[in-house]
Amino acid sequence: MAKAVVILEAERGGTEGMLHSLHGRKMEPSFAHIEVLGYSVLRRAIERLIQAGVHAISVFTNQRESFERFDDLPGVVVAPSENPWRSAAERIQREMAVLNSALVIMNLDAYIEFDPVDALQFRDRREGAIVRGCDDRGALGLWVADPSRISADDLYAQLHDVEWDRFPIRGYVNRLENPCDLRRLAVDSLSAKCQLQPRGFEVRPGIWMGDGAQVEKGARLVAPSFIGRGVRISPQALITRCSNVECDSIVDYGTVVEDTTVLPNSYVGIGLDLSHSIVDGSTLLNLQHRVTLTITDSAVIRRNKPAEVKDSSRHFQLWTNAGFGEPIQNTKKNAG
Amino acid sequence: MVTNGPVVVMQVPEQFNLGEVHTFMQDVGPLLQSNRPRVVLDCSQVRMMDSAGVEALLHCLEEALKRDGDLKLAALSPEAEVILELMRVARVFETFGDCDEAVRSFHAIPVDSIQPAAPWYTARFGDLGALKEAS
Repeated sequence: MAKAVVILEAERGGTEGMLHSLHGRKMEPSFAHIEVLGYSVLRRAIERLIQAGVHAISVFTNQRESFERFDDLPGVVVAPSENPWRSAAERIQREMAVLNSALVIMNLDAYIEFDPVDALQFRDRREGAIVRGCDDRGALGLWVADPSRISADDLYAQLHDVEWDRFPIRGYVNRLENPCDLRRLAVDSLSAKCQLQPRGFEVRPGIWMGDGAQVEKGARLVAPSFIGRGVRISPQALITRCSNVECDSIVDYGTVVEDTTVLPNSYVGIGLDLSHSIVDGSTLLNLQHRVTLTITDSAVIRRNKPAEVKDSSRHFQLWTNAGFGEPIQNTKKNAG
Repeated sequence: MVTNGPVVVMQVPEQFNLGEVHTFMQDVGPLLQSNRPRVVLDCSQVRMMDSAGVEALLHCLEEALKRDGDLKLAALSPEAEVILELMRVARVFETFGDCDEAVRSFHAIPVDSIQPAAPWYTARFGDLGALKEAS
C-alpha cells in the first residue's frame, strides 16, 4: 500500500513585503492551512489520500501557530519543522527500507482533485522513477515517486528542477496563488463546480450550516452560502452571493456580507456593508479595489476570541496590490 | 445656489484616526464657519481611516450644509474608498476623481436653472398645432 508525504510551507519566512523561500525564491504564503467551507485544503488532501487507500501520511510543516488536529484520521503524523523539505527527505531515507511501494509527495500549495490510485498506476506503467502531476497551466506540486530514488540531498531541487514525466490532472485545480483564488475556491464549491463539499448540514437547498451555528431571527441567508460551526449571525444581517462565514465568527446586527469570505474567529461589526472581500480578524482584503487594510477600530472588525486558534491574518497583511489575482466576475452568474 | 467665495481644497491626513481628527478639525473648522462654505477634501493620501475619521467627514458635511454650502471628496485612495463603502457612507458624499474636477463642480450651472429654449416655430406660428395648419 502506498504512503504519502505532504509538505506544507505555511510560512515561507522573509522580510515584510517580499517573501523568500528557504531555497532563495520569492514565494507567497500558502493558503492550504486556511479553512474553506469548514475544512482546510490540507485536511481535504489528506482525506482524499486516505480514501484512495494511502495508509501512512506524514505532514511536514513550518507553520508555527497552533496546528489543526488530525486525531480522527488514521495514520496521519504531523511533524513541525523549520525546514520541512529536509525533514521529509530524511524521513524518507530512514524509512526506505520498509517503503516497498510508491510514495505520493504533495507540496500543498494548491487544491487538486485527483485520484491517487490513477496517479500510482500511471507511475507504474511508466516505469520511471518519478512522475509529476500537471494541468493545462503546467506542473503542479504533486509527485509519485519510487522512494529508493529519493536522495536526502535537497529534495526540493530533485522534484522541481528535473523535467519528470507528467501525469495529467483532469479534475478541478485551484492553484491558490493569491487571495482571489482563495475566494474563487469557496465560490466554486458553493456553485458545485468542484467536489469540495461544505462541512455541515444543508439546511435548505444551497445553505450549509455547521454544528452550533446560530442564525438569529430576522437574519437572512441567501443561497448559496455557508455558515460555519459556532458562528453567530445577528438579526437583520444578510449573507448572500456565495459568502462563507467560517467557524467561531460573528456577523453583527444589520450587516450585509456579499461575495465575501469571513475567515475563522472574526467579528464583523454592526451595520456594515462588506462586499467582494476577505476578512481575517482585523485584516480586510478588498478584492475589487485590491487593497489590504488593517482596521484598528475594534467596533468595525476584529478577532472574535483571543487568538488561540490559527491566526492567518499576517499572511494577508503581506499581500501587495500586484499579487491579488483576477477578481471573480459576476458572482450571481456563478451561483447559477 | 449662488456662491461667490473661493473653493478651498484641503488634504486629509494619511492616518485619519482618532489622534489626527482633532488636528484636522481645528484646521477645517474655520472654513466651515464661513457663509456658504465650499470645501473639497483631497483624500489621495489617506491610508488608514477609522470610525472617528468617518464621523469627522460626516460632521464636516453637516456643518457645510447647515450654512448653505457643500463639501465634496476628491481623489479617494483605494483604502478610503473601501472604508467609506464598508461603513455605508460612500453614497452620502459627492466624490470626484481629482481635485480639479471637484472644484469645477462648484462652478457648474444646475440643469434646472436653465430655461428650455422655445421651439423654432413658436415666434411665427405659435404652438405646434398652428404650424401643422400652416403647412
